[in-house]
Amino acid sequence: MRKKHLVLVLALALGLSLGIVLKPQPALAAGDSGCGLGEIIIQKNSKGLQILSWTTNGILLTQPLGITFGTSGCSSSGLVMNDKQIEYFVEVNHDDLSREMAQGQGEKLSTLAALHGCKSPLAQASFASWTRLNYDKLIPSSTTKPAEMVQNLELNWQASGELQKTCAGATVSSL
Amino acid sequence: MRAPLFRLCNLIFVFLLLGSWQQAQAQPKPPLVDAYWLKLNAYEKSIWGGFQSKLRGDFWLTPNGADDPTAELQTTMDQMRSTDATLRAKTQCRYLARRDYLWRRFAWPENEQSPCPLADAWLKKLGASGVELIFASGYLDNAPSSFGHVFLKFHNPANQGPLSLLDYSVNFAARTQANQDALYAMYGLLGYFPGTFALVPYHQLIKDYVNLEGRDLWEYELNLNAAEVQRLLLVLLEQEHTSFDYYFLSTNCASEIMRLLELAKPGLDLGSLSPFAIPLDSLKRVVRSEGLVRTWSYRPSLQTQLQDQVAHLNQQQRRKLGQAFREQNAAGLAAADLRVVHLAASLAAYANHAQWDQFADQLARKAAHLPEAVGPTSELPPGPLPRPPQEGLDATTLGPGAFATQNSGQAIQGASLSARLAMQNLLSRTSGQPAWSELEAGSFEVRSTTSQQYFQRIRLLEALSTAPTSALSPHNSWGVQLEARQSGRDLWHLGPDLNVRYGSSVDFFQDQRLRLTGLALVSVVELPDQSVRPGLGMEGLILWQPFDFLRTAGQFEVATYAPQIRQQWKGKLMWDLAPQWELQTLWQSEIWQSDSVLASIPDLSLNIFYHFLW
Repeated sequence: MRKKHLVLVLALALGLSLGIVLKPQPALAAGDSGCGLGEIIIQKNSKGLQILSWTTNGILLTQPLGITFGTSGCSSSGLVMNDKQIEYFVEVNHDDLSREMAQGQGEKLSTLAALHGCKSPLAQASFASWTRLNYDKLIPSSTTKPAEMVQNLELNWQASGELQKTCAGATVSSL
Repeated sequence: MRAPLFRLCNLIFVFLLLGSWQQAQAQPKPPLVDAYWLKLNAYEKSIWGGFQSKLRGDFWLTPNGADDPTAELQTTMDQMRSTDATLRAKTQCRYLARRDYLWRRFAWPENEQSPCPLADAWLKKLGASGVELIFASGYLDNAPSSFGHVFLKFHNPANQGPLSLLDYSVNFAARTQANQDALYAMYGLLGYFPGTFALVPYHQLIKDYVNLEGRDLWEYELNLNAAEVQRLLLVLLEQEHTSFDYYFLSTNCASEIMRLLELAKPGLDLGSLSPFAIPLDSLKRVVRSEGLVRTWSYRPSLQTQLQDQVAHLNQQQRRKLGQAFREQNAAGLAAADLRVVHLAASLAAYANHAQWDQFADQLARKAAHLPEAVGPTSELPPGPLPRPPQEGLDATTLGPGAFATQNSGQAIQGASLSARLAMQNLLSRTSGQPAWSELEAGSFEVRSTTSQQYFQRIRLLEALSTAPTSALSPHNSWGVQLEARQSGRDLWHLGPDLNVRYGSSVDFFQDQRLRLTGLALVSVVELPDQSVRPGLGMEGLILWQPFDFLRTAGQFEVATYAPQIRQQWKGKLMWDLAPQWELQTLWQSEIWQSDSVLASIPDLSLNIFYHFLW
């Protein structure tokens, strides 16, 4: 009888633990486009309890370090390629950028502005206001993907007139 | 004439010989291998004698290089200065940190260095001129992250202002696998996962830690000159194809990031060789190293930012916000509710529930179409700056004290000594760790009466997270206890007291001064008759901080171990005496009953805890 109690409680404890440990992970993105970060971001994009998982201080990201790694996605030798900086940045920060564009302000949005050559705080604020005014064009629906956002951004940026002139000529020297 | 001359020459020869012998005696030839070489190649003293490197992979120049530092060094020196130009260049450009070390140590001519254009181009593109140490606060929703996390950020001076988010970070962590079986959680403790460095843009780690996990970041700008930054990068490049056996307690982010810093700036001792590596302790060592930290800054988690914004809403605005979320409809929010609309949009986006996508989109569009571009943070004063992690209590503790209790109906009292390896008591003031959380690993309490000494408890682990449940944080509370404690008549007898707890907590005030926690528990304990039984029960906790220097807890637990029932009542008080000193008083009563009371064990103790880095 005592053994039965023990087995029952141990089974409960084990079940509880495994329920936490083996919490279903979000499905991986299929046919990912752009920089190929979708899989990584989706897999980490969980605020749930993962008590015994090693994914937080662990590396899901397989981005290598070093000079001898080849070119893939948006990176070369472990560093983001110059012409892919915007694509990479938007892919990682899609959620934040959507939120900040709607508000017309935010740190990530300022970085995106600077990546478009808007160096001064005033130019960055103008860029942020411009994204807010053009929100429906940049993010036409709730299902707009990061790559589409980049595409919409670049298309509308070409037609932004005065703002583009304000930011024109400047380049991101580190790229 | 020739004979005296011959004798004189012999005499001079003998003197020279003696002189050189004496010189050799006075200045013994230094060993080839030095501490820097051992650290660079992560050699550790093996328990079998000799050395063993923690580095794994195809890295060594000699077949036994992983456990023979002298042979590896000699071969490296030979190949670095080989007459074969190809071999020389190949070795030098493959082992950039070794090359830097050897040229510094032996002052070899600069013109003997082969050009390494690939590495030069990579370093130029990275453009690092400065280094920051980043500390991510402890995260108890995930046990491996509960001690905090450290990583490095390289600053490129071209990335000014908001572009600094494009700077690169170097993160050391376990490379986990997609397949997670039942032993998955143990792998990190047993060295199963390879630990590797990864290079990641800083904004990507901000997303991980600040947004997704709700962890505050603390950024410490380090006082490293250009040569030291370069040296650090050379080590990373040299070891890019290697890995370490990742051990949660010893070979982790803290040990390896500290090793990098010690290699970059020889003479630093940041505890990389300590048997246990705790990120929060490592951070404190860095801050306490004179002149190593120039400035520091704080980056609150997105959750903290949103909580601050909610706190600034008035009652009416909060009602509107709550109503919009309940009805999943933004139509009721007028343009006049500017701040509420923006905050609602942020909250809906942050919640990231798939079923809220439409609602979040609706709110975002509403915010974008408002007449004024004023976000929720505009005109708001910055939130309060929490106490920085370096000002927290150190992890290791010694606590002398006194106690009074009963054993088999007889009153006993005496002196006690508590000790703890790491890291935080439930009632200790927190810095860099979540408030009202407990994480005790490797602790014990010894008691001494006039007649004998005994262990009151030996605790392997006591973890308790009481993160409050709210719309912003879908946390649950949980706890684990692995302990053996004095049980029965024989004071030397230790019985198991193990449990797993799961439940929920709620805060009554925004400043977290009053929290209520309820937990269901499954446990295995030793009963008064010394039988060991499993049980089920529940626990209630009330946590209150009436003053900044004083925290209290009331705890009630009841569990059934058929046919017996155990009730435990605890009252605890923790008083801050000085930066690293605390006073704890603990009263507890344990009552065992079946049809009648079988045992009643009151216990009162008082301890003064001193905290330090081990």
